[in-house]
Amino acid sequence: MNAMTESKGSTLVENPSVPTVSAGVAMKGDTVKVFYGAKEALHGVSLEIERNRVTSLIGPSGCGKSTFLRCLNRMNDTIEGCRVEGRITLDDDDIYDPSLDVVELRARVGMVFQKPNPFPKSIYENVAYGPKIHGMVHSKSELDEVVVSSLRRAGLFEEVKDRLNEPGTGLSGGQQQRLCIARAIATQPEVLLMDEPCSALDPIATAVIEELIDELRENFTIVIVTHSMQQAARVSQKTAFFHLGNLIEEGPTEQIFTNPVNKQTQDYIMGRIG
Amino acid sequence: MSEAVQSISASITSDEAQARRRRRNAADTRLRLYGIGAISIAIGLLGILILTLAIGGYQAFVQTHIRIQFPISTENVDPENPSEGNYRNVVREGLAALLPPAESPAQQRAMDQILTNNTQFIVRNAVVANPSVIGGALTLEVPASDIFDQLNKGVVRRATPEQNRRVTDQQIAWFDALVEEGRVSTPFNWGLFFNADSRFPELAGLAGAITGSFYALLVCFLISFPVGIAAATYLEEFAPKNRWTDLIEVNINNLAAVPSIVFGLLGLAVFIQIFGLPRSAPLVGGMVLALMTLPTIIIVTRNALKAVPPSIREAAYGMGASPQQVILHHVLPLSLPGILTGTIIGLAQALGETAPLLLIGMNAFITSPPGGIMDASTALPTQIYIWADSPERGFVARTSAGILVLLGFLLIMNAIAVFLRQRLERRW
Amino acid sequence: MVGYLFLAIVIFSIVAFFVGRAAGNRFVTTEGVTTHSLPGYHGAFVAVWVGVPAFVLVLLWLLFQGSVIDGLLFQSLPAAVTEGVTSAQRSLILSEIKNVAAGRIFAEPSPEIAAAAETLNRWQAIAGWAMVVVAVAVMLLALFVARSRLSPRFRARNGVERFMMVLMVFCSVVAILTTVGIIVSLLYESFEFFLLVPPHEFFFGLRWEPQIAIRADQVAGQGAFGAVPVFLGTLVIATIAMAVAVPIGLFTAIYLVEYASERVRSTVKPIMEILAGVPTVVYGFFAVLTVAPAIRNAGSLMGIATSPNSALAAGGVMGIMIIPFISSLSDDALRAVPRTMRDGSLAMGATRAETMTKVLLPSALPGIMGGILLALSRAIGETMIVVMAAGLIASLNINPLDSVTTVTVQIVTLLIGDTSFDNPKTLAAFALGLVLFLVTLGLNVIALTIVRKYREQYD
Repeated sequence: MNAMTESKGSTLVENPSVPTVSAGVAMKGDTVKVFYGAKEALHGVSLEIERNRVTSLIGPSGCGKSTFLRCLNRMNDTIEGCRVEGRITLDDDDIYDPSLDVVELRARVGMVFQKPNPFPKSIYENVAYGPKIHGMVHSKSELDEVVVSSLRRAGLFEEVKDRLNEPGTGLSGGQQQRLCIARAIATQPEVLLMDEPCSALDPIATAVIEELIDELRENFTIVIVTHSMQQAARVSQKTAFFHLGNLIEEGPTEQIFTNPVNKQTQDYIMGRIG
Repeated sequence: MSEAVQSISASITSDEAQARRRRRNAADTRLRLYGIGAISIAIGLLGILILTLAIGGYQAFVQTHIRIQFPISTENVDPENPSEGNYRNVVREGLAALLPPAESPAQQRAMDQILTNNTQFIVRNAVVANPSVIGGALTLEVPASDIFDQLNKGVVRRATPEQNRRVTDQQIAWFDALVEEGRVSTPFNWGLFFNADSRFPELAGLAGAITGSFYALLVCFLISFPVGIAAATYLEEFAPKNRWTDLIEVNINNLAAVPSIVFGLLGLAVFIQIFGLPRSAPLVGGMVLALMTLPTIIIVTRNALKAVPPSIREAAYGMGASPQQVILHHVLPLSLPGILTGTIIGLAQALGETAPLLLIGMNAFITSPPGGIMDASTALPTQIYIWADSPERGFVARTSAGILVLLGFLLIMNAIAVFLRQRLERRW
Repeated sequence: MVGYLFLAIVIFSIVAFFVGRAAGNRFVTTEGVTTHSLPGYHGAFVAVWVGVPAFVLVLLWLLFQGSVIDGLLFQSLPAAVTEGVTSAQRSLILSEIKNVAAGRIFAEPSPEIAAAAETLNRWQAIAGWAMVVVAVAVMLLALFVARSRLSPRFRARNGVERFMMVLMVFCSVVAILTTVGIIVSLLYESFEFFLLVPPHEFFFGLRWEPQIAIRADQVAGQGAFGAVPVFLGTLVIATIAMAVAVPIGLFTAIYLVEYASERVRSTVKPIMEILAGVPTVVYGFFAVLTVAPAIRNAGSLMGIATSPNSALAAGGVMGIMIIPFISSLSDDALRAVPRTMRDGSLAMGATRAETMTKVLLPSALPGIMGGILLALSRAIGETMIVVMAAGLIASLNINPLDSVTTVTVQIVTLLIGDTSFDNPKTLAAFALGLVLFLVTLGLNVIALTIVRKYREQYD
């Protein structure tokens, strides 16, 4: 309860000193609670994801940031015994509404995982998979186009254009992760979720991905979970700090990192917890 | 303190301690020798088994043939109706041209025994196929009868006193005369593969059994493979974990250990008695084998599915694939090599299974290969059982040869499984 | 006819698939991405609705047509024919009618039979056509209904996936059905048997002479179905088999786990697998051809009377068959003991033998016991070796050099050849089968429970 009020105290709306240039809200979570069996992992989180912005979720491990992220495209459905309460909307549609097909939702809210997990198929097939199962293309040439443009937007095309038919698992870690990004954006999602996309990569590959994230912001709304505060500072415009299943504080990234309202946030930023 | 240390080191080096160490090391060596002994016994027994089969069976892979010119006179065979001729006489005339004429009916019968009992039908079929030889002569390589085959192969020994062997001195003399004329040969016994069963060992082959086994395995595969994969996929990927699925799981594990003969009883009582399916049919055999193979396939499929890392599933879910698309597009294709390997091993087991097939009547005496899955038929293992039970000398070698053929098939299937495992299976 | 009908169902389903897919394609071109399911799923949805109900219908029809027509036919017969006939006579009359109807006439049939045969032919023709008409009607109706449900937002994929799910559930229930089928058929036939032969006779009787009972004047219940000698013989042979297999298998496992180099292991293991893969009929032949004569010769050399099909030959060869079973299960059990325990013992200065006998074996004992019980259950249920190498006559003795018979041998000999399900001889096989099933099931359950508990302990 305490945490709730604190987080309210620092939202954008109630802090007029920060200019709100929001281009609208893409997704919105309203008192989202998540239970694994009887254990409550997330204690009522409310957060707005703004369009064409990068929102980063930070916090120590086990704080619920990944759990929240996985609620946004209902990946938690695949975990047995997991239950979600509260309301999450995408363009004002409740994504947990029983009449909504989770499959369609995931086409609109794409996801990139912690470890690069390309399918053990060719590079081409990896990217083509989404458009195929969602019936977004009607001819081979259309599909080719989508694959090439997705790879291009993921900054991978030049590196792999000669070996589109080779297995995606043969690429380097950074390339694999960019392939996964290309795969995710091939379905033209509105929102792209990234679950610590760089944690398995070396610094150089990380830099490439971060640059890419910044470019992708033009066309997609991005939510990124990250362990690294530097990364959050570098890539995101808005930051939300989670701790022990609560959303402690959210706000423009600059403000969170330079002038956090909450004591816990401050401690975390200074490296005292986490 | 130091005294205690001294006494310990003294106790380690003392004679008594050394003796004890020797004893302990001897015990160690003994255990090792027991192990080596046990392995040697096991391998030795396998060696003896294979050696007996090879020695007993290799002779059945060749067959004594005798080349004879049969005069096809119009007296014996009517050109208008070649299939109705007196071919018994034709055969006798063919032999008479080569051997001194028989002096008594008994001698004539003894002479008839040289060639296989079915010679007249072999000749008839040849004539019907080519009626132009009527009035002329026809030269054929005809299998020798079993006892002469055995004589030629040295199984029936000439040194044995005449009253103790099944060929008379007179018959041996005839046979030797044929040998001297160069009419006796022992080519590869294709009949072993292309003939069906017969009462006469020299004509008996495995064609019927191989076809029957093929049909039964086909039915077994067509049932157990899809059903097994569907069941395993459901249990592994979709089923909620509750008492009901626990029950199915325990049940499958137990089913894998139920004696095969019980499946035979099930087949007899349900498929034949209640459903009214025909006895001895490969369809019923295949269905029974499918029920036996099902637990194996379910278990290996589940293991193969388990081996696919969850990250692949997550990736596909994240793309908006439905649970079944995840399985169908990604998980199943990736686990297919493992599933196939297990399936082939399961089918190999089914191929060697005998007891349930006996109960549903696949041990009938059937002289032509089955034309379909509803025809009465034998299977390879039941054919071996039938031959092993037959008293004729020639069937002993035939049985061993049948076993070698069966083992050959098993070896090929297992080799394919090993190949699949090594070449296609993905290590995560 | 039936074959063509099934072919028609397949063709109809394919047509339905294309009808559905065409509709799906149209939705995609008119509505674009908002179409819920891929055109293929629309096709599959219609195809499933067209094909599956018709298929199930025809299957059920075929299953019941025979008995329904039989019943109607029998009722249509004049009372004079049907008056007071037993079920055996009833089936005789019916099969005579069928023979006549099919044109297999051996003697001049009575007018009632001839008339009935004509009726049968007529009814069968009617039933056949009725089935075709009904099936086609069902398919057309399904095609119409399913097609009319399609729309751009229609969730065809979910429909198809629900069907697939039902199919998968059904497939996993097949295993349960198999067990139920086994239990029900064994129980039913055994019940029939125990109506003829009281259970105490069967379980405690000391004389087993089922062949005698086939004669009508010698009804069972005269002590001919006492199964004790059969059980005893099974026990004798299983004991011999275990006596051969347990030491060899166990020592093999010990050697492979503790002493063998990687190279030895990689050669011995495949050889053990070969030993395990040899079909039992081959072992049976080996027992008859090689082992039994060898034992007999050895016996006569030492002046001991040995039966040509001694329990020792059958049991010994069965033991060979079981060696790989015991060795691989013991191997697994020994390997499951955490390496730290073994290292701890070796670090104390224990020899490998001491480590094995004092640390590894005691820890692995439950797993090994489980394996031995599974092997025992296999020995009891093994059929071909004993059918070929053991005796047929049940005698109450435990001399391994004498001939004994087993449960499985008796089942096979009782059921081979003609089987009619109304004499105690046939039914006795099912009673034996029930005992065999229950005993092996009990052993398996105990063994699997032990093994699972043991695994959990170290997981």
